[in-house]
Amino acid sequence: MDNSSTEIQIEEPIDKTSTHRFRNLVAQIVYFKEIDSTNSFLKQKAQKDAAEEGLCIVASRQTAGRGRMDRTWHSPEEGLYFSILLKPNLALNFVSLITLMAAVATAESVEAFSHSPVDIKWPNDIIIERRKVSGILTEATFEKQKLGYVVVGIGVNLNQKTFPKELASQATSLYLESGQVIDREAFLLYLISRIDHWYGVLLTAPSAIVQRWQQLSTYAYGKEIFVEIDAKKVAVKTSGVEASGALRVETADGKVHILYGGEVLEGR
Amino acid sequence: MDFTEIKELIELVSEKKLAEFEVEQGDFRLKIKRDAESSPVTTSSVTAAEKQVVEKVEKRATPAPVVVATKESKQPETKEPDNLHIVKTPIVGTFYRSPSPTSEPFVKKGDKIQVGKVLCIIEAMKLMNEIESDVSGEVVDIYVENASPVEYGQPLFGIRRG
Repeated sequence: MDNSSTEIQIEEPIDKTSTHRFRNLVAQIVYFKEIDSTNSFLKQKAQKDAAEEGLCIVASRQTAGRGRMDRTWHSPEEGLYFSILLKPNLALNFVSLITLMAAVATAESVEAFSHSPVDIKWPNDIIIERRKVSGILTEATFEKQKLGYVVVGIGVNLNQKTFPKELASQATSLYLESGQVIDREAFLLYLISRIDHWYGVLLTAPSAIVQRWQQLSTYAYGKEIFVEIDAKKVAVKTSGVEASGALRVETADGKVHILYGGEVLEGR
Repeated sequence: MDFTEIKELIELVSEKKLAEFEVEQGDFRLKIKRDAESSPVTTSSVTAAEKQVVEKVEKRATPAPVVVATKESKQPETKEPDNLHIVKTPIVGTFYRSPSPTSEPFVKKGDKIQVGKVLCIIEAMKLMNEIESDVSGEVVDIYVENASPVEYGQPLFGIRRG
């Protein structure tokens, strides 16, 4: 994250590479056995202008997997850790739809492989039966008021049979849901094909991303949740997603609030 | 915040049919309320300059937003010195001065920076946007508190070119 750092990362040995041509993207996939974080690696590459759109980094293990605000993302060998580089030419008010686009692509892939009903918690957590199965961390740069590159990092719990105690009640895996061992590469290529499809939609008809997101998520309409408004935890009911991807919520007194961030909390 | 920006905000609030809208920026706080019944209600303690805004609002078709300005805007000056460059946010979101709550800020007042230096993160819908400086110079002012919401075009940093 820190731009002033001049530390050059020693590249871990590459496991293998492959290239796949999709409709909108040419996915050049680089596999590592182990890496600190697929997002950090791809960002370093992109910062040096040494990477083309569609470059994908995949790791069997992450030693420093990151979530939002540098929270750790538990990254054992049974999971998929994947980051893709995008350089979209998007109007500024649609930039945040990238996270909803990634969520739609991931939800469709998880649904196809788990055969379980999948939900998206706003804006981009993939949930099965109230347990998180995938998390997305999207990082972008802005220079001169223009979007530079975007790194979309997706972590998916594929074949975990158990989770550490502190995660057990909040996490699940495709294996636990389907009873089948998931082929990592097959899942990855399916996921990239969905990203390719929805990325094309994002660039040409961004409102269709919002529509699809609303179809896939029970959080879009009428969901009773808690959010932070003016530093207070407030009970609200959701009432759709704005064109920008922001969540519209109503408080009990009928006031409408538009949320651009913050945590969506369950329970009382 | 200048009149054009305030006007844009009022139009946005009207268009989105928001009941209430509040934005805070340094010492300046603006609250826009829609009167659902009919014409806008103006509140007390507005300065002459703010009255103009209220009048503009009243000319709009009803129901229109109510503008409540609680404090005089202090900074940044609209007439900025030639060598002062204001970095504004390109998107709506939450302003973060460091990559995580426990880490050091990207920049502090007095830091000398180069073009491309990451100044802050604006988070919107879990998209973490690193905002880079488009000039080299010294960070002379930071207009927004960490973790506060920012509106499109809101000034974030004052950088003296050099």
